[in-house]
Amino acid sequence: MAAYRILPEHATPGIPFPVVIEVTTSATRPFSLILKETLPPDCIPAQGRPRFVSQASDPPVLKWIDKISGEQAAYSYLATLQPATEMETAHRFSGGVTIRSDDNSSIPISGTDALRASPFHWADSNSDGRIDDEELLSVYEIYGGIEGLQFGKKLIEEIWTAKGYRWNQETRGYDILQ
Amino acid sequence: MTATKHHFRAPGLLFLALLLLLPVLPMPLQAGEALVSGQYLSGGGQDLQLRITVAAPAPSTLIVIQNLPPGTAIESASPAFHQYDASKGEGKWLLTQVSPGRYLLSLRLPRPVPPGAISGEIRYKDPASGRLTHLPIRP
Repeated sequence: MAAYRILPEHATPGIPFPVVIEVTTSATRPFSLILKETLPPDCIPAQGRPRFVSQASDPPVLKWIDKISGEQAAYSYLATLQPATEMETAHRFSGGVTIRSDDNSSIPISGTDALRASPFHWADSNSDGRIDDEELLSVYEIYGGIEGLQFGKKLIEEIWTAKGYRWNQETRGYDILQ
Repeated sequence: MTATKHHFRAPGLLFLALLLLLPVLPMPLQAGEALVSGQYLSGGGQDLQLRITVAAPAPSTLIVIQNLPPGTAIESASPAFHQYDASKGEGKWLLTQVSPGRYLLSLRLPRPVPPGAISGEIRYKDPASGRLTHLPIRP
């Protein structure tokens, strides 16, 4: 079994960003697992798909208890860096999956584990102040299929159709450049 | 915009009976066949129609670009464009939640254009490789 985290490279404080943890297995029979995800202390978790069943704070810890019957399962959530988070600081995620076995050992979640606070939108992966076709397609390929995950499609499409955007520190929102 | 599939009418009861005997499969990809293809059913005049065929495993999202002569006005588009820059004559559709099948995009122009004056392009990420594909389409 393996668990892999997909996380944007950066996100703007106060703007929600999505996180997906994919669990893959070659097991032929259904089995139960506990997935535990520890967020950075400056991070506020929000919506989970499926819902996380337990949440601690300082640092925030999310847990999912699930039964896997296929080869793959995905656990996703939205999170936000605290609005007062200083730009260009790094924030680390960690987690693991525990399955019922003799030693109850936990398998660490691999993949991306760090996020940088940035004035650029999380979908603008090359931080050039616009969301191009490739970035838009990547966002939809990764997050578009997760039913009910409100990752801000409307704003992303608005930026994509515009010439660009700029972070406005005073309004704490993006100015869309037409 | 969620993609709306274009349905073609099946010709007769015999076809339906044969169809019921077949396993229900989402248009699997054959050797040498493209994952996504586009064809102009009408590539000139006032009414332009572009048919897009998507095979399995389908990319979840397509960006379809329609190039018209710069300065061309559009009377109507179905589905509606997400972007249209009249000075460049470039329109973009964003089709999301795409599944294998056929899709029809239509445009009505106030003045006719010759077939050689237009072109299209489909952009998508290959689900297997994650690579960005640019598929040019000519009438």
